Amino acid sequence: MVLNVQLFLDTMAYASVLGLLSMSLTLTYIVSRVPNFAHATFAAIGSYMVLIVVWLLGIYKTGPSWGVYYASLPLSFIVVGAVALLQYLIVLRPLAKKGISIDGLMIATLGIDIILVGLLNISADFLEEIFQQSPDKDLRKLVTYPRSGYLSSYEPTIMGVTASSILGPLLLVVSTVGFYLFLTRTKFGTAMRAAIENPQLAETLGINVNLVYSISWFIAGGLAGIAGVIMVMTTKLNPTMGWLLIVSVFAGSIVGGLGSLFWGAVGGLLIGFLEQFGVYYTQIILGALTGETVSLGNYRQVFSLGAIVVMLLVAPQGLASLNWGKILSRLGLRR
Amino acid sequence: MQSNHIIETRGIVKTFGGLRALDGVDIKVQRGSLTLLIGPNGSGKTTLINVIGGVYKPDAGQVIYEGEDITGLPPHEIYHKGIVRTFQIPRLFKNLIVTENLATAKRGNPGENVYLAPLKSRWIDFETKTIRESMITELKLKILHMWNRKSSELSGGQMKLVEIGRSLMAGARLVLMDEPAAGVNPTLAHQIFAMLKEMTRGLGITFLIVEHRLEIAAEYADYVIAMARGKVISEGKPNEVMTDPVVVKSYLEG
Amino acid sequence: MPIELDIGTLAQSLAYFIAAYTIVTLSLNLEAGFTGIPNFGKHLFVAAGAFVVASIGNRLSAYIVSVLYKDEILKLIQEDPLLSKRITEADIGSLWSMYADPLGNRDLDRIMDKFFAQHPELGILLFILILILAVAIGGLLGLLISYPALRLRGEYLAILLLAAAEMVVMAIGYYWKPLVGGTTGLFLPRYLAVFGQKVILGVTVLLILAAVAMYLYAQRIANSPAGRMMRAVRDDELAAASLGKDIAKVRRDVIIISSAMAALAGALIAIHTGSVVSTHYQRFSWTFIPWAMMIVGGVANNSGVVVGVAIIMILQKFVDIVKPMLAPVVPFDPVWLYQIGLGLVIILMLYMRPQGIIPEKPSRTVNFEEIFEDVLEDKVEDEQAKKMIREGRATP
Ligand SMILES: Nc1ncnc2c1ncn2[C@@H]1O[C@H](COP(=O)(O)OP(=O)(O)OP(=O)(O)O)[C@@H](O)[C@H]1O
Ligand SMILES: [Mg+2]
Repeated sequence: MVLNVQLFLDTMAYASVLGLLSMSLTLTYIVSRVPNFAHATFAAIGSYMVLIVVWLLGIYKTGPSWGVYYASLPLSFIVVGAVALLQYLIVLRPLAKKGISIDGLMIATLGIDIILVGLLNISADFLEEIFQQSPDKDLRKLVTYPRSGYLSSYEPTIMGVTASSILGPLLLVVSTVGFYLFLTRTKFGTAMRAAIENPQLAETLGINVNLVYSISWFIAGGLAGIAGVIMVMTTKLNPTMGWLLIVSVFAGSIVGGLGSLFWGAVGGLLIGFLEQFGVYYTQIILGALTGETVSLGNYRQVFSLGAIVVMLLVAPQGLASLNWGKILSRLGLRR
Repeated sequence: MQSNHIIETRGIVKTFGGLRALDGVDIKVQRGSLTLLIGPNGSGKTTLINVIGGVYKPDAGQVIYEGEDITGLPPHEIYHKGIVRTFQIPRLFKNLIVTENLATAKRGNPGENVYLAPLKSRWIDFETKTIRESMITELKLKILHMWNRKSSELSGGQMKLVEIGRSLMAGARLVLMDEPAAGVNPTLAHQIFAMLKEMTRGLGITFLIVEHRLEIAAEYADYVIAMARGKVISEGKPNEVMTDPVVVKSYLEG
Repeated sequence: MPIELDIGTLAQSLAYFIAAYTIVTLSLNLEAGFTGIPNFGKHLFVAAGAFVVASIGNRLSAYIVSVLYKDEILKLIQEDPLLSKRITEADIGSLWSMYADPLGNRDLDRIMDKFFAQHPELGILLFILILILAVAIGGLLGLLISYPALRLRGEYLAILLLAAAEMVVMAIGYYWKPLVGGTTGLFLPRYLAVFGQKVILGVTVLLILAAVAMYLYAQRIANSPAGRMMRAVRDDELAAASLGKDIAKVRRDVIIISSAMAALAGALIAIHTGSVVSTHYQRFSWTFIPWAMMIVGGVANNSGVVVGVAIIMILQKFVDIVKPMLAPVVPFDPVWLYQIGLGLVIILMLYMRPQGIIPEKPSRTVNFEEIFEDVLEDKVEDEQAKKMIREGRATP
């Protein structure tokens, strides 16, 4: 079997989650020049919003519903956007103003990650308590001990295909194109580009750089939040679900070059496919060699780590820095 | 066997984007001389120092030191060949005290081997001499009273002096200085140039010095090279070059 | 509800944690504090030491025992009602792989413990050998990591190290059974049966000795020309390179030494615990907390590190004590409050006192003051000038 349709569909959801996360991580990096180690936990917060929606809207009783998406997407966008904005305003900006080195800022984001995971754990314990005390049998089943659960059974399907496999890529495309139009076609977008490329100059031109940065953080957080909504449909809910995922997210951003939103999205997508198909074909090959069933799904991050190492050593500025015209003509794809 | 020239550049070209910062630079520096490198702002003096010092690889051309092609060697190897340089904008180790800044420049400290560093007896004598030498150098540069100040707390002129001190500690045969006297008071600047001059005679060290303040530096110089727009436009004895109409014109334009 | 405190156990556990964290944080400080290498994957190197003990140590000790003491071990197995059915004489040759497999590990561990109780001298020998192996492999891992590390700066290096650590510890260590038994982990033999019932106390004392030795070692490096050079490289790479320092070599050497130190700590932690599970070597415990300790105590200051370690460990013990009191009152596990508190501490510390409680000091290679006085005596004639220089004033 050369191509596996179900695997492809699953990968679409996972890869677009990484696309959204790598793109939004790149946005915060462009703005603040610090890799945000808490970024994947932003997505985890988004995932918990889905749990809350499933609970409060009674979806756990009624079964699969579009309500999961209608309610979770905007809720996650706003809540996680606000978290990201607070991180920027309360922590990163004051520290950067004090002249704290990049190492210091990075460890601060690691600190934020710990705080957010702590808060998620507290919320998870709290929710679990509520669910377990409930007389409602369905609600008691919603979360399994300890602090984890599967929510994918509550998402609707479109012609037999899980919605996340279609919605994920759609959201990625919409936000990438939306960003592009926003940055190139609107006045605010132009101001935003100016503020990011040359803050001093933008300041003298009367652009409120701080406002631009704040909005960037909010949007980046919001995108991470909606990525979390899709993500929870592909994996198990858990407060620390971001901890291993961050490796893949960084891989995507680094492959994209950490300098362009579009390439960030592409990088994330590529990493998603690399991990999934890398695992799939390695399993087939190893299976054929050893004559046993090999399961490597848990090691998908190995491919991400490989991508990080290769990319940083071969083209540290990422795919964005490569001369694509030249490469395409070499490959005979363009004259 | 050896020529009189300690260092020589041949056709050095260095571009930044579209800008040709160095456009075929040939210079020769007499061994044991104090040679000045002058030229208006942006003429490429610092870039030339950076090329010789290994910070930039030139796009074309060679750097020949003592008859050996050292083009494109990394900075630490250039240092080990016997060349040291200072920076136009001082680059001190900002959390190190003044004396530590100077001592770091000392060549061949056996205590700098990370694995063997805990064996104090291997380096204690060398280190004692190094610290003593650092302090004597500080005394000459009139910064001994600040020997244990963190270098980030110094004024601009004092930082320049620490830069000079480090280059003198390096025990190099060729010292490249980028505007050492900027921000230093004239009396001290004179004393420093006199000291450098003395070192050319006493120790045979060669100095190639970028310096704008010719009213101070010229009287100590053996030779002057003038650059403009990435090229050498004139060279010779100080008063010849300083009165050369081409040089005067370039400064007026620059 | 009165709290019952077993002061002896508490003190012993506190001493153990302080010693283990002192070694790890000192090694982090050599890299990050002194040399400016942002190691965000410290847990990988601590885990490496522990993994060597479980993975290689278990196999090696079972192998040696099965070869050298074949009859004795067979006898012990046959005396065991459970194992005697499963393991026959023919299986003795594969004892080594059985002992590193979660299926066989638990049962065999009983036997191994009995065996070492009878042969404490072999246990000591193996302990020393495995410790040396852990340190050597830790250093080799550092060498390996240093190849990409040398070409990367700042945030890229931090990302790479964190990614490598997460993958090895959380993915391979957790899921790949042949390494350290996967999700269930592995029990280790009681190498230090020589301590009898007081084995935990014994290992704690060894850890304390190791921590003291590592402190003295780190202090020697800090107060040597090499320590000064590391700080110079951290402050300005280009200036240091122009003064002859081979930046790549300095960074590589420091990574190797620090990795070996971290692996030593990891190995001792494993032996103290008596078992290895990859989840014990998470980012929070062995990267984040050491960074927090360094930032609280003092960046590029070994004594500061010890202060930071003590403060945070005492805080943690305090949380452990109040936890049972808090647990019935709040609807969640109070341990999260500790995590959140640590996150806040690190951010507040960066904001209010980024240099830490005890700030960086010059590398005291020699007695500076004495040399200063000598130079003044020898080179300055004028008494007035001497006085001014001593007082830190410029002479005219
Ligand atoms: N890293 C760089 N990137 C781009 N352009 C550079 C760089 N370094 C130097 N230049 C340009 O090269 C030209 C030569 O600069 P350089 O610093 O060598 O001049 P200079 O003679 O030292 O001038 P000054 O007297 O102001 O120090 C200038 O136009 C400068 O802007
Ligand atoms: Mg210049």
